[in-house]
Amino acid sequence: MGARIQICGRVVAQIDGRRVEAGLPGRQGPRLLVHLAANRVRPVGRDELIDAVWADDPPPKPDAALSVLLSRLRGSLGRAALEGRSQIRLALPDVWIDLEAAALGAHRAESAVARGDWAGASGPGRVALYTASRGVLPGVDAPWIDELRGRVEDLRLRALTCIAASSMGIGGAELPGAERSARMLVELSPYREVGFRLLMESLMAQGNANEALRVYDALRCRLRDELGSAPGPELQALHRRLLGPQRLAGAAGPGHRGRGG
Amino acid sequence: MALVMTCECGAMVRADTEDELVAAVERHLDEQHPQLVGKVSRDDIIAMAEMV
Repeated sequence: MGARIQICGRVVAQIDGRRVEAGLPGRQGPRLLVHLAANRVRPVGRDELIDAVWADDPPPKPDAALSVLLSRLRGSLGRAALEGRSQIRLALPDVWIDLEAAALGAHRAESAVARGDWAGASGPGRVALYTASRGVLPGVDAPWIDELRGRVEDLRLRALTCIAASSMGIGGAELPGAERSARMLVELSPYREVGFRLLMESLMAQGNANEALRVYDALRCRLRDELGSAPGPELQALHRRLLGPQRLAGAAGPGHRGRGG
Repeated sequence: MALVMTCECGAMVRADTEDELVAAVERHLDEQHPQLVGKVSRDDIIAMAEMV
C-alpha cells in the first residue's frame, strides 16, 4: 500500500494503511515532516531543518534536539524513511504526497485545457484546487512556510483557471461552476485579467450579458484608479463583442447619457 | 481513516474508506454534475479528499 503523506490541511502520515502521525512529537514533528516532504527533491541541511522547526526560538542544544526529533520521525515512518546525517532527505519508497499530486494535477489540467479536453481537465484540476484550498500549517508563521504557502496559492490560482475554462467548455450544468471558479479567481487575484475574461464569458453563456458588462466596468475603473492602466486588448475585444451593434443601437436611444472614460 | 471532500458546489462527502468515497462522489456526480459522469478517475477522486 505504500506511504501517503498529507501536508495541506491536517498533517497526516499513513504507512501501509496505518496512520502514524500521532507519533510525531509535539508541534515540531509535523513541521519537520512538512519541510522534508515539501523539499523531497533535495537533501536538506541540519541548520535549515533547525530553523524550520524552531525558527527564532531554538532549544539550548539545537543539533542534539534535532537528532532526537529525527529519531522519533524514523520511529513513526520507518527506519529507512530518512537518508543522510548532515544532509537529510525523505526517502520513503513509493510515497504519495498531496502537494506533489496537486502540482501534477495543475499541470495535467493545463495540458487538457490547452488541447480542448474539457472533461479531462475536471478531475486533475480539482485535485489541485481542493488540495491547495486546505492551506499549509495554519497559524504557524515562518519564512519557509510563507514561501510554501506561495507555491500552494499559485497552484490554487492555476487550478481555478483550469476549472473555470473546462467548465465553460463543458457548458450546461457546469456553467454555474465556471462562474463560481472565475469569481473566486477574480477575488483572489484581482489584477489577473484571465479571471475577468472567464467570468465575463461564463456570465454571457448564462444569458447575463449586462452583468458581464458590469464586471468589465469594475475592472476598467480599478485599473484606471489604482494602476493608471486599462484592460488588455483581449478583454477590450470581448467588451466590444458584448456591446454588439444591437446593444449600442439600443443605448443610443432618446434620453441616453453615454459614460465617459 | 476518514476521508472528506467538499465539492465547489457546496456538497460535502465523507467516507470511511476509499471505496465508499468513490461511490459517494460518483453518486454526487450523477445527481448534480451529469456531464462529469465517467470523466473523473478513481485515483483523482481519492486524491481530492482530505484525510481527517
